[in-house]
Amino acid sequence: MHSFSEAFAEAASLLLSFDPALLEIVSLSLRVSLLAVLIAALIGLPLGALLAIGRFPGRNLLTIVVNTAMGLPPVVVGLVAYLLLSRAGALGPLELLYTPTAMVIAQTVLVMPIIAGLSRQSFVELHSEYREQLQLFGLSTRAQLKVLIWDARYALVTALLAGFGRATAEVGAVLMVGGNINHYTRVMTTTIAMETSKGNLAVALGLGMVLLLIAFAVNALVHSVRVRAERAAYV
Amino acid sequence: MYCEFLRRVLPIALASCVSAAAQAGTVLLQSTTSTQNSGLYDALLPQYTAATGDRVRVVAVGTGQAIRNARNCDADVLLVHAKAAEEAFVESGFGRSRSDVMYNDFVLIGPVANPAGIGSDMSVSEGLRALYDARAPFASRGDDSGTHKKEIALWLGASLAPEQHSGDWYLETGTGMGATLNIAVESNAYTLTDRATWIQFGNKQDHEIVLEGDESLFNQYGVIDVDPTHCPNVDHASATRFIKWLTGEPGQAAIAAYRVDNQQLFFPNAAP
Amino acid sequence: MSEVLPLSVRSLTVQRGGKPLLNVPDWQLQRGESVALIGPNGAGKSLLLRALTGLLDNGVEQAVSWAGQTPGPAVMSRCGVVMQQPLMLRRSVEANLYFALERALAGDALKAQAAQALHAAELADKAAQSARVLSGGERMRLAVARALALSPDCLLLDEPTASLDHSSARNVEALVSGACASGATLLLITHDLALARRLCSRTVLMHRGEIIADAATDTFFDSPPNSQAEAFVRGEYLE
Repeated sequence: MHSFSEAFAEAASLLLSFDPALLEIVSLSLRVSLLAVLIAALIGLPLGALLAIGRFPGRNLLTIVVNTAMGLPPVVVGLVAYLLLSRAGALGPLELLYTPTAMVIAQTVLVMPIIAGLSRQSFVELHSEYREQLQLFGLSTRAQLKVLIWDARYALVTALLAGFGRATAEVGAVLMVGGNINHYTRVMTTTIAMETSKGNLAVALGLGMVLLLIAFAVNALVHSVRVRAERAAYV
Repeated sequence: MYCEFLRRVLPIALASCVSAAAQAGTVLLQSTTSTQNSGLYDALLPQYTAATGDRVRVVAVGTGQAIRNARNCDADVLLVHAKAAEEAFVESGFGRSRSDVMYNDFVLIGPVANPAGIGSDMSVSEGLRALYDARAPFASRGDDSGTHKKEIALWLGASLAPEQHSGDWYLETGTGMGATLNIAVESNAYTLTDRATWIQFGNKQDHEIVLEGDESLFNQYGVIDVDPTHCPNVDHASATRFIKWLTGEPGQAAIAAYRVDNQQLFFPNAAP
Repeated sequence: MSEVLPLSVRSLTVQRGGKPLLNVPDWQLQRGESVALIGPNGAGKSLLLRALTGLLDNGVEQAVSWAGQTPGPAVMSRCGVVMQQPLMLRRSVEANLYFALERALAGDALKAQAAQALHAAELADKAAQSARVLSGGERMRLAVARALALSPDCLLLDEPTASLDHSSARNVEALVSGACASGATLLLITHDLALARRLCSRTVLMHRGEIIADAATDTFFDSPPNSQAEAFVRGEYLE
């Protein structure tokens, strides 16, 4: 198909030109998604650990809820976030709709269950290995969470990456609450959607390749860290 | 406390992200997609910002969604193209006043092979009748947008009810103009589009304009300031300033000057 | 520091699904004793150890008294315990020691104590390596060294020489007998009857969740207290 060769050329020229508009979009994408993943990790990792080791009523129900939420459709999250953040909504007075902050919130909601759900599995495995030692040493739940999060860190990075991938790749939620406003809330995916709708398929595909390239770079970086850890047998 | 957290921490965390947070003169414009996709705002808004220092943020969605968003007060200004719906919006107290800004026209596009045999000398009603009789595939927006409203009115004017053939040859895409054009191009279908979007559209392949020029294809764009009594949080002063510029001499001249491939896409017609 | 010995167990029962797994009506461990806990697999030896250390919940710990205290962090800080999964394999060798020593020491004292423990376990050259790369023998030496590092009053070891080669087993045995010589009380689960005879002054035989023989080691092996003990010493299956 002719679009592909054009798209490669387009991607190359986009990258080589260091087009400031492109850089702006890429950097906003990264910053919104990284911040969302950071906040989601701060909530999701302790939640995942708590679901793995905690004993409290409703734990199984909460686990099911988290696992279900791992598959939340972005447009649904976007719609709910829109309804809440709209000036007519419950959080309207915050004036957050159509801001990068709103996009961070929506992506955090999308990503947090993924991080919590995936990390829970890692914590379950690690905890079966550590349970007796942690208990014998009389560690408080909080101290146990710290040990588990630290010692599972290489496995947890995979969960964070999955969350980051989801955040950078989704378009439904950021489009609804961000509005794809030029120079303000326009990110990679909303630009791709917009260029597609303008029939600029080569540009859209080129941008898609840039997105993939970034995802590749991030994965390569994390993988190399992991491989180094594996070589030292810490995983 | 949670709200306080959001209000304080998130914007700080994002401060490095975003060049400048909302300042005094920021207009939130809910707009139809054609004006954005045609590149009009990219030409117009920098001029406005240069002239006034105000910033305009455009959220481009279908006319129906733009009106609903504005009804939720998520806009200072509304710029769409569905006059009846716009007037209803003002009458219901959501908008303060409506002004004409500019116009262009709708065109019927279809495959070069033109299986329905639509003649360029036909009226819209005749063209649609030919399409209907030939059961030629037709992609409808089906999304309550300005273009969709216009299309429904045109079928009604031709006394035809294509909805009963939905899913057969009448394809309701439920998406924006661009996505619908992509679908029409790929499925050899006809569709109705505004001229500006079509001229700017980059994936025409073997599609072309098959019918244009009928009086009923006239496409009027209007602008409305969201009513501050209904929506106390809107920046009404900035909204008024923007509308005054857009419908005044500088804005109208800028609209007339915007061209793609040497074709003028929008024709200013604000009341002086 | 309060005394944790003697250890006494009264009316300790554990059931799962209505099936009795452990039933110890009355049993004591005196300060300074070294006791071997022997018996076939599934006899309840490890389960008893878990009950003694407070790893079982459901109120089982109420049946266990460490000089008047129920098992918990306070008691366990005076005990060196080696369970069947005794190490943090995602940490380095020295980090495993630090984790144990941090309960009582800090700074240079902690480092010095860790270095000394590693030296005693012949692991000084592996300090910075991941515990995962250690051989089975090295792992067990590290685990025992970790259990001994805070000079505990009581040592509770679950098969510390199982599947070790001769030299590692000797190292572990030397570490344990050294601790006993300096006054530590020992409860040792083992299948190695010769080790039991060498290290322990008293031998306890468990079968089907119950203690069926309990005698001084010499007596136990030379003139077994009952027919089951005699059969077990002879290497026969217990019915």
